[in-house]
Amino acid sequence: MREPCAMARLRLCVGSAALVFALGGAQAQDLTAFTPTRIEYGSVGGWGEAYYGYDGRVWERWETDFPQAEQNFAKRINQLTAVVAAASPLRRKLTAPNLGDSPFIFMLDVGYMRLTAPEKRALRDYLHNGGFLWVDDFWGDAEWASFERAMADVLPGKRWRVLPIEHPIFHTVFDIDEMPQIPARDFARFGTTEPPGIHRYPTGSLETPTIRAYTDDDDRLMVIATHNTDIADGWERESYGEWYFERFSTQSYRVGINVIAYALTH
Amino acid sequence: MFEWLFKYPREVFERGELAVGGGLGGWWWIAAFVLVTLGALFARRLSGWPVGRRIVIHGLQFAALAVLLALLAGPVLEVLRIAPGINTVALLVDTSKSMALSADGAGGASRLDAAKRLLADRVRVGEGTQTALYGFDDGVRGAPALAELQATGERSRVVDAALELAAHYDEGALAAIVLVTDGAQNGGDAVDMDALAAAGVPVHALGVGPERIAGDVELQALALPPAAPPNSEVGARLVIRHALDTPAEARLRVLEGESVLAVAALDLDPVAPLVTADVAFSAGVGGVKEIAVEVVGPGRDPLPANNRREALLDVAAVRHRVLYLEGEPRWEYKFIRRAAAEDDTVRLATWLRTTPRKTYRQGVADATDLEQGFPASLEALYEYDLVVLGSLPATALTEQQHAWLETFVAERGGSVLALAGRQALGEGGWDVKPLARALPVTLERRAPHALPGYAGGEYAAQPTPEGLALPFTDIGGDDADTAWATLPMLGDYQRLGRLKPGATTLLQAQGSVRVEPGEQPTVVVTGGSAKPLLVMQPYGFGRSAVLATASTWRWRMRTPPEDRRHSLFWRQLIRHLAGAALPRKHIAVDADYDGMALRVALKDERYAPAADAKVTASITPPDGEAFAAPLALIAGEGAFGGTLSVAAPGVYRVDIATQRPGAAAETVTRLARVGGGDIESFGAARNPVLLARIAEATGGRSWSVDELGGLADAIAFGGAGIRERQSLPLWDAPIFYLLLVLLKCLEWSLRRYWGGI
Repeated sequence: MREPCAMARLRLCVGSAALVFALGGAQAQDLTAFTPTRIEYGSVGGWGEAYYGYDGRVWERWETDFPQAEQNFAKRINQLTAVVAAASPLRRKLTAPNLGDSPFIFMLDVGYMRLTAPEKRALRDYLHNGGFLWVDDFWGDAEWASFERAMADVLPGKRWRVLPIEHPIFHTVFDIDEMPQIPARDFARFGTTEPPGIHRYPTGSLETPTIRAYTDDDDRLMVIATHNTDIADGWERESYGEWYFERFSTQSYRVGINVIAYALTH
Repeated sequence: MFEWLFKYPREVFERGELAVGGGLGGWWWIAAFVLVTLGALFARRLSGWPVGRRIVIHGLQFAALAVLLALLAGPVLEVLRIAPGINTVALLVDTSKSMALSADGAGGASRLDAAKRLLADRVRVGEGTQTALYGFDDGVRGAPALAELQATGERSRVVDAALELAAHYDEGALAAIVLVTDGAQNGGDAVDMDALAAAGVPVHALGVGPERIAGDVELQALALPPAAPPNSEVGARLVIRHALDTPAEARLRVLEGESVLAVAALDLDPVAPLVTADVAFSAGVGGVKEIAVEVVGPGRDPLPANNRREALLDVAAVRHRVLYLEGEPRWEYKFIRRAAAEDDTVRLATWLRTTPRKTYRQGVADATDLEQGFPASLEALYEYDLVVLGSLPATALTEQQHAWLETFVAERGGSVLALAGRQALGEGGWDVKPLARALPVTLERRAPHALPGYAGGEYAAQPTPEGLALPFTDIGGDDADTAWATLPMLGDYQRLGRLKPGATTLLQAQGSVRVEPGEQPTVVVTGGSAKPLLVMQPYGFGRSAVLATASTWRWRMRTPPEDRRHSLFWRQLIRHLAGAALPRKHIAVDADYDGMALRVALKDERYAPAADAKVTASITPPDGEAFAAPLALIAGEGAFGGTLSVAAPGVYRVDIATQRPGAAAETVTRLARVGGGDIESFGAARNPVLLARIAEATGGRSWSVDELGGLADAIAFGGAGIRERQSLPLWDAPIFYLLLVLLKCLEWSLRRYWGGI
């Protein structure tokens, strides 16, 4: 996966420009609809850490699967549920003054994430106001530890816990009896667990997918982390093959719709 | 002047009839013939004059002639006047405690002394008319002499006293009542001015005491909700009247016994003598509490007794049951639920359609509650106080459920709040359903290819004056306008139809609103005309409301976490609507200074009056033994009630037991405060408005001291008492002679000017 740095940066610029163009630059938000909102954040490290090459272009960590995952997800939400979802996702920084217009935000691949102090403050206020953060696609112990350290500053004193399968979030729309493990498409043919070599060291166990959560004082979920799984890849890659769709995308949509329904009701 | 010109007062002419006293006999006709003949001879002297001048001069001569003939005819005024020797004028003097206050407001002689002096030195009722002296406060008593009157009464019932006197002289010998008072009516029932007017006795009112007591700060009114849930925030609304000459700061204190529950500062400005203020305090733990509120003025208060009022607060768990039906998972749903969850008085059950075939229930009592989405029976629907309708298409309910919703408002007396949304109101097909009749606006269905009635767009929410008058729009902050103007903009709006005649717009959506900073921040509205945002109306026994937005969640998400305005708005709106719903058991205990009235209204499961119930009341006096009070069924009202007269002031405990056939008995306890407090210190300034109303209603007059010379005539011709017909001669009224001189002078001047002399 590694490419020369100069070429990588060029592809990063081209990729980002194409992304902005694709989303129409400054986006007017339809406040009458549910709009998936991806958070732009910074990451530590260089090639293979803060950014990487994939599918012929360079990606920053925050934009993993963006916007195809959210676009497909919005489409399915409109097909399958009574939620009215905007077709185009939004991208926002945590410090954006209009972050509050998106009570649901999505962060992916946060294993190398580094939040600034203003971003932490903004996220804290956002969560205390009732905003909902879903973090997806990060695997192993080191990537979790990185996220946990950041959250210790965002929500001081709060402890995460693994949600049992009886938790309402597994039953808002679909009854899910087991947390699915969704691998990125390229690894799916080997099973559901992604190989340790592509994740931050030490990985520890990669085999158990869980929803880990931070809750408010009334035990409502503020932050959920779908750990050791890549739910968004199941949306993004739904059309990459019938087998992948049937095996993983359907599971991803079940989880995704349940999470959205929870966020919209609690 | 009138009386000097016409010899008698104006009132005499208003009540009398003009007549010819001497008649038009032979002498009058002879005199008329002589005068007309002389006039004709004289007129020949003017035959050479131009016609116009002749007409003017002859006109003046004929006018003078007519005056002379009128005088010769002996004009009289036929009037009914009180007969001498058999009529009485009652002198009714206020002897309540407020009459012991200074008459000049500066520590001089008392108002009662001033009243005595007026009666002794200035009040004259006319010769041949007797006077009878009475004192009044809570009742009327005869007094042998002015010196016997003492200002000791606990109350003033001025209208009742006048009525009582009029009834006492039922033979018609009471010609008038001369009322001397500072004008307070602070006891008994509401002022019955119609009954006083019907008594037919003119009341001539003479006010004593100052209209303004300099330096006084009075807590004129205290309004507390009768009940509050434990540990909730209770708002006390105060009305303060002051007579300060310079701006100053007063302090407000809320007390329970010796414990201070809240303290606040209040700026008093001489340009605003009447101030309304709100103080919030915690209800604390359960129980009935006596809450006192004090306003402490900035300096020496001449009447400190009127700075404090007490009220009872029943701190008990109150639960409003709210049903929220939503057809679209959306942020408004989530944040309304969150706001309601902060309120212990609200139990919110929600039914949400998550997919075309799946639903999600929250806040339900058990697994079967709302299993079918809508309450399974009319009785189950009637268990709720408020129904909130979200973006739910009308097709989601059956025709029977639609009919139930309408009767829920009209007959059960519940409240319905309809929110905006893609599938709400007219967009959702509710325009052809029975509930459309109950809603405060007409619903219009979108024509094919027309723009959606519900769409995004930024609007500012601002309360209307009618909205500001309701407590639920008080969302915090010292200034309501600023609190609303600084809220984040709404992000959507649903076009509404016409407002119905009984509808009131409480909030409106504006283009934008901003606050201009400064010492006195001002709210500036720019762009776009105001559209109705929250509209409400009564319907049947209940009420309905429409909120034309579903983006109030922005008030939560785009403000700092400590900002409570979104939560306050929703909690208060829900309480306002749910609290207005008719309770199944309504118990009213109204106490005043003499006793209390009890009224118990019971409804069955379908909200029909439960006339088959057995209702009993047990009254426990402040320091006595409990006694039973019968509560009879009030015919035609479907309620049980009764009134009790009690003597001792204090707090009474009222236990009301109700039992329906086949059901267990339930007992509800209420407290009632009877009497108490120094009410004579409240409203102690002279009340000229009340005195003028009394005088006007009875055909009397409100007198100033300088005018009292006319009192005797006003009584004599006042229309009451035993009267006799009298002819008052008018031949010597100065007006006739002045007129005669004027006419002749004018004629002489013209003739001299035109050269005829």
